[in-house]
Amino acid sequence: MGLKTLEKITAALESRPAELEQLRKQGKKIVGWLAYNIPEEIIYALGLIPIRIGQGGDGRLVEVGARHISTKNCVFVRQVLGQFAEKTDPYIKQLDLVAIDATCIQLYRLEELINFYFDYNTVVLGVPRNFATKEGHEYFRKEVEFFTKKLELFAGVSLEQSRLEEAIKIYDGIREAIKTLYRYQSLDNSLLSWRQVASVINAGYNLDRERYLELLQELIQEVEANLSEESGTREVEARIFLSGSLIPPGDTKLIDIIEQLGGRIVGDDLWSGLNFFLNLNIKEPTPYGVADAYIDRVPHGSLPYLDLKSDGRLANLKHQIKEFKADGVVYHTLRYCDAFTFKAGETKDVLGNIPFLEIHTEYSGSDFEAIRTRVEAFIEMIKSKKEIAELV
Amino acid sequence: MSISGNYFAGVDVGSLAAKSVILKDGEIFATGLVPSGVNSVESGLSALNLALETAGLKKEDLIYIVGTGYGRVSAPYANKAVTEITCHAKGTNYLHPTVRTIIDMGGQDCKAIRIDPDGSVVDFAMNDKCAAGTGRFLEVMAGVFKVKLEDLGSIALSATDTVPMSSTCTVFAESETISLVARGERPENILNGIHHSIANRIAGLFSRVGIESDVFFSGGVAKNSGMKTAIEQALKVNIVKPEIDPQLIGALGAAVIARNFARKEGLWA
Amino acid sequence: MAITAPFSYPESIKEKFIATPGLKFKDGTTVSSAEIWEFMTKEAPKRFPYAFDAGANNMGRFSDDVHFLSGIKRGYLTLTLKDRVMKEHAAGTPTVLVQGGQAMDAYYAAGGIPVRPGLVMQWARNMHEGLSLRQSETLGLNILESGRRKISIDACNQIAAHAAIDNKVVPIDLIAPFLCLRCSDMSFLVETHRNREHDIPRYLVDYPVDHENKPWAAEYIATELRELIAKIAALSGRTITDEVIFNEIKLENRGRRIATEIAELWWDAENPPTNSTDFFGIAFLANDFVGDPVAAVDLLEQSKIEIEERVRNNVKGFGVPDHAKRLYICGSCVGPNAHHAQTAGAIFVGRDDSWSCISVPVEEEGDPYLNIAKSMLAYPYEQRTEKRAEWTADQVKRSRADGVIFMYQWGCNYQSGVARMISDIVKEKAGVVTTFVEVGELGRSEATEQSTNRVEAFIEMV
Repeated sequence: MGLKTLEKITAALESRPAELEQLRKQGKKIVGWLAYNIPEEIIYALGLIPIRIGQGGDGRLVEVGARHISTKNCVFVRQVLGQFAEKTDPYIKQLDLVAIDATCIQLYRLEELINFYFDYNTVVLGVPRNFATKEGHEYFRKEVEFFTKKLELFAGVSLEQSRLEEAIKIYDGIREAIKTLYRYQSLDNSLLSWRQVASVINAGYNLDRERYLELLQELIQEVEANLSEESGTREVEARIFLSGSLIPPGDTKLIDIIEQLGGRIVGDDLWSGLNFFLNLNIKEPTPYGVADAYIDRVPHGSLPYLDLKSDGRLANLKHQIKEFKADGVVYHTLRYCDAFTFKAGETKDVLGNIPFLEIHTEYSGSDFEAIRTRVEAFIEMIKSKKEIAELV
Repeated sequence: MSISGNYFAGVDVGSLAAKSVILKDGEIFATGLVPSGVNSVESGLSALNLALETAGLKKEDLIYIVGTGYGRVSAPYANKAVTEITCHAKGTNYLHPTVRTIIDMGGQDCKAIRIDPDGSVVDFAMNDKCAAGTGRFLEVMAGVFKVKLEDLGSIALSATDTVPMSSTCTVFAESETISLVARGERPENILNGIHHSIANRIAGLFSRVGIESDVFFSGGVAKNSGMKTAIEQALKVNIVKPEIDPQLIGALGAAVIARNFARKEGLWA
Repeated sequence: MAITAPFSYPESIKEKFIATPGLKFKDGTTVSSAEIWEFMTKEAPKRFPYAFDAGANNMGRFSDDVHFLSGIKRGYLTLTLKDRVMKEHAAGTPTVLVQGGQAMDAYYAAGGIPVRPGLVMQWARNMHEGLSLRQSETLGLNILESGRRKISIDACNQIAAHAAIDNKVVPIDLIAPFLCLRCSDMSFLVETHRNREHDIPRYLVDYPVDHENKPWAAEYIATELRELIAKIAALSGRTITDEVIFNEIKLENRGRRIATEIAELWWDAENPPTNSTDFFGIAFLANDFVGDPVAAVDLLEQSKIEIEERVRNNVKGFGVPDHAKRLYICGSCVGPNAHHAQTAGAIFVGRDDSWSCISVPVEEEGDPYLNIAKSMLAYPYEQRTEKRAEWTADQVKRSRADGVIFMYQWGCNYQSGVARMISDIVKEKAGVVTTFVEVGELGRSEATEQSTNRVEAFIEMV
């Protein structure tokens, strides 16, 4: 039995590009944004329409992008560049402004390139590498304030506190709902899978946020109503936790392989996944308050942190692995995504005994079989460790 | 003629060769090794048929067949497919129970495998797709120097010097080699450099999974004495002398697993 | 491999050389030219034979323009780096790993010796003496590979410097570079030191990108500089007043000014007064100071006098081809082999990387921390790419370059990301041909034929 609300979400997504076209005709402006620290609440509160951009998994678009950037740059950056070069994506072609935060400097380079080659109006939000320090906070507050002013000019309105409060309420609701869905997908008696939650998250970046929140609440009710009485009826399984570089919409290679081989993904700490929704508590409805909340949440891997013991990213990773009762970690790194690639060995050291598999890949299909072998052996190893494998 | 004993087979279809091992009860009874063709099903079958022929058996005499290697995905002759990582672990453990660490170098990849006393995989790492550390790369290098693949290792061992070579990726390694040839470096010294650069990549894999004695070297490249020496130097270990052709270890492991499956499924007691 | 006779300085120039002034050092001592001559002709060839390898592939080969006497002294400064740093370190001076291509004022002022990754790699190799080029390369490669093994092969070759530090090949007391848009790997590589047994204090001075019209960016850096200087001062035991910092700024500004004046002279000369190696060596001195700003500035002054004289007499530097094609070099850290380029008929007339920092003096009055921060934010190389490319185009025009090569090291994601864009802009604004080349040989001399081939083909096209 499928979940009806998921169908509703899919339908809403299908009609969204046409809806946006109408809204633009009515004078609404669309702000495409990327990465981890753009405060969407502010975009929304100014009456602008936020759309998170960027897809993965398409080797052809990567090639298109590579006409303007080196093949030695992150494959996600190359594909997004390809999307801007082609302008056939229903969202990309409707953007009035592109906002990119400099959490990942390769994405900052992307901003420069789309501004120069494809004439997009862009705005950058600076992000401090020393994010945990007082001066880093101070810098980021000023950046968010400046970002807000730029958006105010662009929108032609001033940020009203009441509007920001409303926006924060909606976004808080979304964050809570996503966390609830993650809990349900990890249960044995729920109809929801990790893959479905991932697609719900991706849909949310394009949909109207108020409508999206309603759909999320409806989905939660439906999932709760359909929880089966019995739990643990599933066969003994390899519960896989995903970590590492982002897995954007469209990039399903690794997910497909894991699922085809009988692995079950039960959680992640991806910045394109759960991490985005964690620990974001806006205490004061002002740009400064928003800035503090964003910079204080689970840190992004692209921001260096020099003390291993107090690293919030690793602490969160350990916590989530436990929370979702994972049997093994698949640490996914995109070629030339140094931030996550360089941390692979360390992450493995820190996690200790849990089975850990690094998959270093790109968006071409050429390594499909090679990845398949690794994942298959990994699942064999986990099952063997759980003493359930028939084969040994 | 009636057949006595219980027979199990493992078939390992790799990118360069297809291998098969038949076990009679617990003993190695026959083996087969053929070069891989374009059709992996046919390659697997020829290796299996070769082993059957040597053994004087028919396919029907086999109780259970396990397929492994890249050809395992499409192996209609096999009852089950298992990855070569698990098979190399089981195969090595069968022959050398004291081994805890395996280096497997085949045609298109290289693996670092750690196993427990039962031959179960504890951890493993594999080269990424751009790595220079594979049999295929050595084949290309043999082509550059116009020598036989099997002679590469002994040529490298005759070197008087090691030309320093970078290990970044095949593209750089190949271009470096061409540069060095153009400059008039002696082939054996370049080949020595190449073997050390590959050994460095392998050492990189082990920095992730760790090393514990004894250490075994399996796969087709294990027959290359130059590679063996370079790895021993890079990892600072001694490699256990193989009891059978190290290229057959994957197929042997598959046969051992076939026997275990047969037992689990009640086909053999 | 063909054996080439090692490079040596001819006795015929000895008399003229030892008549020139020696070099003054920051500890107040002076080394006479006679002592420098002894070192460069007797001691160094025994201790560092690799440096005297006359093969064309030796990337760090000395300039063969032996009549440019400051060039010999530059070789002296480079080859004595190890001795000087080890001696100072033993006496309690902290050694600090820094980013290249950035101002060193803060580090020296605080009483530390800043060493960039390139110099760490060289220092590490020099810890073993008596090595041939091949042996030295092998040693360097082994260190590089040990770093790659630990972290990733996707890393830039500067990982060798981090491995040398981690493996205690060289003693580094503090890892505290400036971040920048120049280098993609530094921040992540500094982070990797947190998971090592050899626990060295670490600090990063963040570099806010997209900082135009944002005064808080300079304030952010200034606060970090205070922290940095306090950290170094705690190790060096020095008391750091604004005056101490300004004294250092004034000294280094002098170096920057002289280097800029040399460049102007050089560019305006009818014939290039030095070869590429000597010209780039001057820029390097004013950017790096090779462990001793007093000596580096002294040498810059001597270099200027020699170049002035050559320009006056219309002397062409030894090795400069007739009707040489003038190439401007962009990108990061790596550069083409000067000897090969000269053989192919080209001379290098500029390099955005080194000159960026030199072109921005630090203000000498007010708040020294804020002044350094402001100058860092003003480096042309660190601006938004469009602006950087416009500056580069101006440099290309000013240096009368005929072509531009943008070269970057494998693993350098920030430079690879804009190689095409900068080449496109410079081509349009300066009206010259441009190309971009990716190489894998940073810090290495062996097997560079592929890059050389590309550069030569480009020179032929120019």
